[in-house]
Amino acid sequence: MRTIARIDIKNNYVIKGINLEGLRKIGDPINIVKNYYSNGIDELLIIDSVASLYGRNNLFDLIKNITEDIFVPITLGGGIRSLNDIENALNSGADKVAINSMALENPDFLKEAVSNFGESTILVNIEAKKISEGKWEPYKFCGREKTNLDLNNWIIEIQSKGCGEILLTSIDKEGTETGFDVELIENVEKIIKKPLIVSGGCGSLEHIEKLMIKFKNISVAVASVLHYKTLKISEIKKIST
Amino acid sequence: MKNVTIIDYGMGNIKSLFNSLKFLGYNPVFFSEQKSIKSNICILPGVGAFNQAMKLIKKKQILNDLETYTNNKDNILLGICLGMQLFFEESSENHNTAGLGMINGKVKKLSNSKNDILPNVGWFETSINPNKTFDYLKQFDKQKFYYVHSYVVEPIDSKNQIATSVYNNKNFCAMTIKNTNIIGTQFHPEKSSKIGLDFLETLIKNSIN
Repeated sequence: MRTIARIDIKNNYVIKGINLEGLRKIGDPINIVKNYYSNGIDELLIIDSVASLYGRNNLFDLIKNITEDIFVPITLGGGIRSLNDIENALNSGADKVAINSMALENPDFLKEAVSNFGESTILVNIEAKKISEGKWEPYKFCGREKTNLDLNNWIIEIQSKGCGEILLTSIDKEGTETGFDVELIENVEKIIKKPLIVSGGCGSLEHIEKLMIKFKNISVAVASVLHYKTLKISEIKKIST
Repeated sequence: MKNVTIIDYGMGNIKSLFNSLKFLGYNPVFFSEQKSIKSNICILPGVGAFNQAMKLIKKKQILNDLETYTNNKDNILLGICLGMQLFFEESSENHNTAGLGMINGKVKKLSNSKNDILPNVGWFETSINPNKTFDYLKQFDKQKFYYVHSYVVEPIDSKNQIATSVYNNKNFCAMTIKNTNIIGTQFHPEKSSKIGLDFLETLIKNSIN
């Protein structure tokens, strides 16, 4: 299991919300990622949380800066809307890009992205919200806009277009620190044929342990527990490897 | 500052490799800028598809330079991930494509089962059992390195294999060597945190005359 630090950024600050809303400032991105790196984080997931809404990603300079002395895989997400954006992300030093809104608007964009940059470069970010018993819906623009799609159909579709990994964020659990959305993960686990990273809800070591017992081959993206120093990276890694 | 050449043929992310060499105090030089290999350590990186990579290598006429370079046994060639896979005779990725043919064997898919999850991504323990030439790499035995791949190399001669890792309870080849001056890793040392940097530095230090 990989332990991935999820870092959401708005206006040059690391921020954290609850259910992807009500954002709270955490601190300076450079200091925060350097700290996580020196404490042994496996990967970094850096997301411009308002980029899709404004139609551009503002984090290329930040990525350029941090990749000069951080040597773990870095995924950049938010506002990745063209092949040119992907190229800029990679040239800045990112290893992968996370795509959500643009894939929902044009699923063939994934196909194009994979054929140009290789599947291992393309991570699909899904922000899922429960709509009824056993039903979830993927959302656009960091949880701001409905799509009226069915989550399971969407997963099947993105896998047919191509991607290297899937990041599944539970909007309902995000920022709550009440545990991962086991029901959601159970629902999709069988149809997912790509490495799966789950995000949203981690509040304690028990939450991670529970996940590891239930699911094989799963990785976690955590934010609150690191930002608020509830858990140490070394503690998480001790139980997850 | 010692030069290290990176073969830039247009495949994948070479920025992190560049940054890691710079961080270690070397002077990384792109082959695409120099048009010849003017250092005695040269790295063949690569992320992407085998067939596409071979097409670009041929188009950019890198083949002859690589051959001349490796014929001098004082010159070290390091292949990373796809870069190592290119050392082999053939790969079945997308369609059968001939490789550089430096090492006998083929590149095959890690698993053909629909239920297996690919690419294989993560930090995996690597068992390193080097020969005398690369004895100094023994210190990295059982360390975890970062892998991301769907294909693996299968050398015909076991002498060419010096490390393994595990996917779905099965060993796969994690490092290969040829003669005393060609070496490849399936993992990405440039993305493997401090241990990866240490690996790169040790390899370069022991290779530079």
